[in-house]
Amino acid sequence: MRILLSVVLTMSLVSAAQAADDPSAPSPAPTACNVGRIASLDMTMLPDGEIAVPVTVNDQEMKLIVDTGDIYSGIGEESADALHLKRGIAGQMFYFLGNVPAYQYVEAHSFKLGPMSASDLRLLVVPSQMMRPNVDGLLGPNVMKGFDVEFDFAHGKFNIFSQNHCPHAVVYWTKGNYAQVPMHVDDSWHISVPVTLNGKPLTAVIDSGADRSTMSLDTLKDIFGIDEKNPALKQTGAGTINGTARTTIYRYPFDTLALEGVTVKSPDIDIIPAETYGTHNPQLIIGINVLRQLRLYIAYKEQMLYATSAEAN
Amino acid sequence: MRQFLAVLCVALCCTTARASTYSEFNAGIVAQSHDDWESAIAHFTTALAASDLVPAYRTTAYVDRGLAYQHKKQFDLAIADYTEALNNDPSYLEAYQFRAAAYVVADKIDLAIADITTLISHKPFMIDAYGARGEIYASQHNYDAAIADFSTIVGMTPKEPAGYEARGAVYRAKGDYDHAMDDDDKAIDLGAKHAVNYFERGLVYEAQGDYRHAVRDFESASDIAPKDDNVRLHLGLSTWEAGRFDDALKTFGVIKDSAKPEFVPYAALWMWLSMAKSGGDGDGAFKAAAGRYNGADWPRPIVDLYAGTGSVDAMLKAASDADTKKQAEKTCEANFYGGVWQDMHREMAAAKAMLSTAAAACPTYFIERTAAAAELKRLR
Repeated sequence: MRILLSVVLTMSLVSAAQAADDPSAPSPAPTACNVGRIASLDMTMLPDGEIAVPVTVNDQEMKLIVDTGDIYSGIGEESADALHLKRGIAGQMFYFLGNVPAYQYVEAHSFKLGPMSASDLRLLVVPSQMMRPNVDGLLGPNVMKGFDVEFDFAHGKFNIFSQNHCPHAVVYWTKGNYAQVPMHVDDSWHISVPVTLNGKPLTAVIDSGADRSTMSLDTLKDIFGIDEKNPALKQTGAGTINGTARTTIYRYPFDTLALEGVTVKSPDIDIIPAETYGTHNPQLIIGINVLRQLRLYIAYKEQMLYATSAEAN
Repeated sequence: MRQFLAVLCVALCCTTARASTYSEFNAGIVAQSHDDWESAIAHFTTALAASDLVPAYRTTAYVDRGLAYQHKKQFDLAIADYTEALNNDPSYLEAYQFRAAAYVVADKIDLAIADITTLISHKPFMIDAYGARGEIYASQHNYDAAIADFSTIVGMTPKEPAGYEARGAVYRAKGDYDHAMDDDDKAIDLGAKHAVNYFERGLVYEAQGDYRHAVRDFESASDIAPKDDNVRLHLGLSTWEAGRFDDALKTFGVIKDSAKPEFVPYAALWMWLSMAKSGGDGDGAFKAAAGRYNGADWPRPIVDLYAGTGSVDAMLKAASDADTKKQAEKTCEANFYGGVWQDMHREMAAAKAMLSTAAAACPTYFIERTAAAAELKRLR
């Protein structure tokens, strides 16, 4: 549950997307409107279903969680220390969901993602309680936004493509139907899409770094008129968000979540109090527990999300 | 979650005649997130039996099935799955962490320590790993090793209170009260104004015989955690040790009425001790309080002694136990409560002998150790 909230302008990170301009990075031109794949990385799936991919930071192999809900790519405190990276103070405080603060950065002399490389990339230092032994940090949209990215969960692959392709000609894995959803990419490179939940229109953020889908109790009250007195709203216990914030978690038996023709029955959504969820968060965060059912192609430049079932072919 | 796939099939015209390996694997993760361990095990077992499971997912499936077994307290099966996961991918370090936890519950402490040590060799800056290993060492009374691990944490995070908190508790258990006090002070100075910090420092003051400061810290802890039986027990004990028997009686009275069952006989005993010391009717108070206690096992022989239906000899005999650790703990209590009982009956030589034994031989983590020292001080 890593959505990062604060838009930070004073701390300028060098985008590894610029590495696409590097001669060492292949940028295949599309032929006959085929998409140009730059890299196909093996996914590691964490016990709760989040995914991580291999990168190299200062010649050290690491695994980063692919996190579309983040802003800047980050490295865990312990991994930063292991590389003896000197920390600097960021110009502004960042807050992960659960009000988990982050305010330091380090500079990696080299950063490699598949065949692409960048130098002097600033990485946000991620609080250690958010990290697990299997992973070293977060791959954020400041890097991904320079490409198209595809989550092929069924085959365990995270694919990276050039943005140089014909419009809407990206769903290469099936000749069957697929969903094509216009998405809004904001200043923080967060991806918002229109959805309907039990028939009510909402704006949802696609957050591959969140293990669960989440909304606030206030949204539930405001849009659905449902509060704690509703017997169908069940408190399922307490949980921890981003390793720190303890929160009460509720569940409500929603019938459907629809995304441009793709309908999810009985979507599994955690509902948490507004003080933990934060007042500036989207109405709904679609986490990896739902995304894992899909094969997703995110065209950042085209601002379009393409989806099929995970195993469509 | 398979309902969802079915809907997608309608919406997108894809075809899956039966649950695929990936959907079985995915269903396992979904079941796990709902704490449905049986279903998770079934789905992961099906996925693992298939030849087309993505190799990386095979590791995850073993780990997650291991977690499901662990929740079902089937620790051997859990350990076997974590081992398979590590055979499949030695870099899946979380499996070491989970396996170590399973080894601890299975009382295979050396193997647990070995796993955490391996984890540390891969992640030398992983503070939680040092913390976990330090806790295991401390639970085994290997205080020096625990102190070394917690010192590593202090070295890595000198401005965080957690390392000082943990190390201070181990210093106290070791009997190194000066270092314990330094660490407890540091943790509180760094802003960790948690009940446990005041409680820990109160224990150190108590062990040093500084009951006035001990009472002050236990009161601070009690203000923060008013329903913590252990805090209240020590608050009562330290006020008793300080000779404030009326105050002690009030505290033990509260414990007697609200504490967990295991605290009840001790609350009753301490009410008796407080009442008798303040000149009241100890017998009456004890019988009323002990009426709530109907256990047949230890500390029944102590309760019987104070109720007038047992004897010192019978109590000492009942303290023998095949488990040497339990025997030491029971003997400690028998000597303390027996010593006080002898004092009340003017058998001063026997009282001093038994209290001296308790003060010297009681484990450092037993309240009767400091109470015996306080009582001896008063007798002298």
